[in-house]
Amino acid sequence: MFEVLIDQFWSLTIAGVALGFIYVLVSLGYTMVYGVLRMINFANSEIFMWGTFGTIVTSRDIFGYSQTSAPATGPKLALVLFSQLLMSMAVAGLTAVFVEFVAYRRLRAKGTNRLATLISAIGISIVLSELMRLLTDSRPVGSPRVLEKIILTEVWGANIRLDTVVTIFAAAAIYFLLERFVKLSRMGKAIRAVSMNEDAAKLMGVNLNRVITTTFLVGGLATGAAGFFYITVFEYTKFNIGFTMGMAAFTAAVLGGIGNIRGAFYGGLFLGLLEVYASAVLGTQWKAVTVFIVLVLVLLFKPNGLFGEAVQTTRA
Amino acid sequence: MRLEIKDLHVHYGKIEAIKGVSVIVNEGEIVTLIGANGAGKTTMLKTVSGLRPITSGQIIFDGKDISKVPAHERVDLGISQAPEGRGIFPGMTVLENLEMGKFHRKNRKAEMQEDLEKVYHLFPRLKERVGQAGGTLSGGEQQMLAIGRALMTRPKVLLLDEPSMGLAPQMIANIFRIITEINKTGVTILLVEQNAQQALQRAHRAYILETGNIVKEAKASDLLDDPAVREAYLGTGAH
Amino acid sequence: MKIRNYWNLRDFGANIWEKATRTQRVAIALTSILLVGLLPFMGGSILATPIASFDAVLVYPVGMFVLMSLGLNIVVGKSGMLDLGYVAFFAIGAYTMAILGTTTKMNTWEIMPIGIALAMIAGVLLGIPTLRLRGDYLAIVTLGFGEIVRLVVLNSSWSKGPNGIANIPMPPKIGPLKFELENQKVFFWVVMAMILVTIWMIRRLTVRRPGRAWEAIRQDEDAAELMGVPTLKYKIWSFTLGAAVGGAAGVLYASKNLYIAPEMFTLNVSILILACVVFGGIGNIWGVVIGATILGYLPDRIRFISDARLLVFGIVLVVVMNFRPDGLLPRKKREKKIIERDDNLLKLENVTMKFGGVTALNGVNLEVKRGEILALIGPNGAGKTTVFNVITGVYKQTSGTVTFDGTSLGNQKRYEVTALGVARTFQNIRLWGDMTALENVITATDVHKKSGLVGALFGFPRASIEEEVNRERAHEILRFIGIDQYSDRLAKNLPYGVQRRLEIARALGTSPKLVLLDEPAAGFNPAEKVELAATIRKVRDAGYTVLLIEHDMSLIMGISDRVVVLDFGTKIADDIPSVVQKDPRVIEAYLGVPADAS
Repeated sequence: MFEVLIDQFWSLTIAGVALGFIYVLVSLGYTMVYGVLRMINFANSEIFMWGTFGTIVTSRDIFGYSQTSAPATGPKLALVLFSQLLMSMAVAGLTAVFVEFVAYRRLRAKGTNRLATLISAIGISIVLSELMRLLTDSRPVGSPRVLEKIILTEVWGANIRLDTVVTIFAAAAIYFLLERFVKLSRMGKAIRAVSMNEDAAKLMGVNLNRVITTTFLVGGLATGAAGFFYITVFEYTKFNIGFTMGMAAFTAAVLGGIGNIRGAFYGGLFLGLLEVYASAVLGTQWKAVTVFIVLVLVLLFKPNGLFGEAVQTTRA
Repeated sequence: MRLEIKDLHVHYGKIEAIKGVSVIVNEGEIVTLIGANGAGKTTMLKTVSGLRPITSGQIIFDGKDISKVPAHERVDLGISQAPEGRGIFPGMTVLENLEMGKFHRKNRKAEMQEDLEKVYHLFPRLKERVGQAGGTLSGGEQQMLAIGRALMTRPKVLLLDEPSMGLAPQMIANIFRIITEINKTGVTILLVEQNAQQALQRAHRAYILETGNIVKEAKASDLLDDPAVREAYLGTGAH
Repeated sequence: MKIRNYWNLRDFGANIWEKATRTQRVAIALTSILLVGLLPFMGGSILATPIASFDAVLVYPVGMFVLMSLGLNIVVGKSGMLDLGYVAFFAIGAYTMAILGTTTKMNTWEIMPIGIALAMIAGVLLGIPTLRLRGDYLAIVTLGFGEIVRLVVLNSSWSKGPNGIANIPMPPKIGPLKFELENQKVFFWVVMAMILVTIWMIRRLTVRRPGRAWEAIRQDEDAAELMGVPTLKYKIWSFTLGAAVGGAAGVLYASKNLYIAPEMFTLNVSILILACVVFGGIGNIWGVVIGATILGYLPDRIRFISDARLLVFGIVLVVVMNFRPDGLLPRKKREKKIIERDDNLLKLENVTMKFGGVTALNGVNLEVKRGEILALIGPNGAGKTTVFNVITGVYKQTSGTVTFDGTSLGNQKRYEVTALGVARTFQNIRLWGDMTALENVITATDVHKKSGLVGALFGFPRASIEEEVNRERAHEILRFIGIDQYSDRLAKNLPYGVQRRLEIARALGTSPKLVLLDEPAAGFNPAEKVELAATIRKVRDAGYTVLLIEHDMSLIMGISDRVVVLDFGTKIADDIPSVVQKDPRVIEAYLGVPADAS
């Protein structure tokens, strides 16, 4: 039962870290919105899905790559990858702002109950995924290979592939940039202030609506970046991939203490590794079940997350 | 500069919390609103700072009706509130909290050091704790931080909501002394308090609020001697 | 959130219903059932559906959606928990049917209880750990659970994995009624019967303790907990009942479809059902029925929607939540009642009561304001006790109207008046002498518990829970009145003063809004009267409204907010005590000499 895990421990670990970083970025979408609104951004999974399509559209339709064309090299490679990343982020970021505008804003202004907001958010996520289903005719969409999956080196029997390395480093860089932004920028401070005490933030001259829109935007950008990395590694998407990703990333956010950016980092990596190891032991079909069980256990026994409480005090 | 609240009505859902209240605060005054729990004092302050929408009435500041201006813009006009229950940012350091008080200012860098010094002068304790997270301060220190942070916005009118709440007697006296000191630097103060004794001693004028209505308005010193007020709010009435 | 009347279908329907008499109601209900039962014969009309045959559409999606929406509504609407994994219970029911139906000789009706039981067990097993969670978290966890059930089914051999299970048997015929694929009328009638049973169950439970507990949880879970509602238990009940309905629907669905596979049980089903609940009006049975009917039917009627069914449903969720969060038919607004009600809890208008040739009351107008102590005084035979008897339904007034808390009194039975919130004590003590003091009060609390049989039928341990809760409450009331130390003594053996107070306690046991006290101080010594005055004030301060008949003027002047004086069946004064006391007519008719104004 454990042979696979032992045999391939290091390659699994590397895959787990790459997957973990994707989770980190998506769970930022959950955690940041939760921080300011104390509500789950239910549509984040679909925002991710739209990002993955943004990535594919860029390479396929803008740069004209097909399943059979040769991978890019040199400056062209950098250009295409960078465009894909930007497009994915832009699509996801705009989608997130749209979600806030359509599903959350009006209800928030009215001060209607949480159940209504939650249902409204579920509604918008259905709209997003169904729209894509109709656009793609329910078919999976493969991504042309832009980045050749060269094996760079071998460490302890594990192949280190280029796409994995790019994912790990670039995702980590984006994460740290975001963390800096929230910690140091004026808007970031406003976001933190709102998440700690909404009224006090307003009294300091913070424009609540702008902060909330920005938060959705930033969360969407991170989630979109994850969409790009996901495509780079897995080279495939479908209208319904958001669901499993959303469950996992949400679990990661909760694991690290939802509302807490650093927590998303630890939670994402932890869950990425756990998922890869668990699949090696139990089989990939039970991956989602593992994630779910982790989620329930954490919510029941450590609702503030494994990695310490969120920095913010929870509002009553 | 003068703050005038005219015939203010506020509803919470279907319940009318403020039933046609008018209050005037002149420049340089300390005006206090006293009343029992649930009389509507905090609601009054929140409508002035903009945290709470009003049903009808007017809030006139510097001759302009600001009742529709959103809260974050009222800070620019010079209205600042130190919220009840010391609404500081617990995850930020003392310094970061104070810096948030300059959030709305375009030229924050220029004013920052000067105003920080002023706050530290009033509350030397805060200077000792600059690097500490707000949430780890004691109750009295959090209250100081909330007031200090409000002062960082350079308010014309400072709204104080129950500054003595939950403080030890010695600390209460200290906070009220500082309130007078702040007032002497030219800041007008609207103070909401349950500790009527202290509030009336410090204030120039006072309003008594009962279940959403003003039942009395007078010079603070007169109310201190008013037997009915003494009985109801000072607990020292003749009986 | 003003609800305009012309747009408020619920009030329109409710008005008709409330005004109807018992026989009229039965007639309305039977006619409606008959009309709906005839629906499958409408296949040739404008209602006809282009692709599937009309009677098939009535079974699925329409009937099934209605049934499942009602089940989900118990969870989402009644107790406010957002369950996104409702499809899991549907799947459990369906697979129970499929597996037992294909591997054993059991028929659909025999499998039905098993399917329901398994769904309920799953509900409890999932509920115990997860229902501690609130709001968003619960939504995500149930979402995950629904997906897990699908994944388990998809990846297991006993369920034949992705291939699904075929050749599921149809239900055996009921008498002459045969189940056929080509003609699904009988299926429709079975779904209808299941819907009716579900509605009946929800209605029963809603007006009882579980309904109140759910409402309390929905509105404010913390407060509910503080008020002694065992919230987790009630949440699990709600969840499990919803699961039972889902399971039953699943069994029938499998037996109708003859084939099931994991892809029929995706998250989308949960969302569709949620959309039905939300569209019609969360929490309102009829809203849910209508909402599910429309959303189930339209995609089959209008071709272009059927492709984009889920997209439309998603839009429905967003639009309804943002612009009409209460749905088509909003739930009963408890708060709305509070606004509409005026200050007068009880109002007698022009009430006349004649016994043969004797006029006991002659056009009496009387208003009792909420939260006041109103004393009714007058010479013997002035009609005071008659007023009480009219209010409590012992007599029916000859003419005039009596309005209590917005409801017109006159046709109700006595116990119905009590259930509305009127309780009384008697001039001559009428306790149940051979019961203990506590039992007297507990029995009074039973007013709101109509039938223990129903509870037993559904296997509720409710009777015993209720018993315990009532016992606790009874003790509380006895303590409140200050006679808890006598709780275990037989009423007939209690001292006179205690018996009088026990009468008040028993009246409070019915959770009244208005307490009628008929000469509570009769036979008391001055010291006992002082104590009684304090008790009555305490009762008023606790939020009850008190109307009392009394002769002791010092007591009345001491505690009354207002005094009404009757003489020969006519009201001669109505004012605050000090004014009434000086009223010459009152002095002449009743007081004789001016009472000493102290």
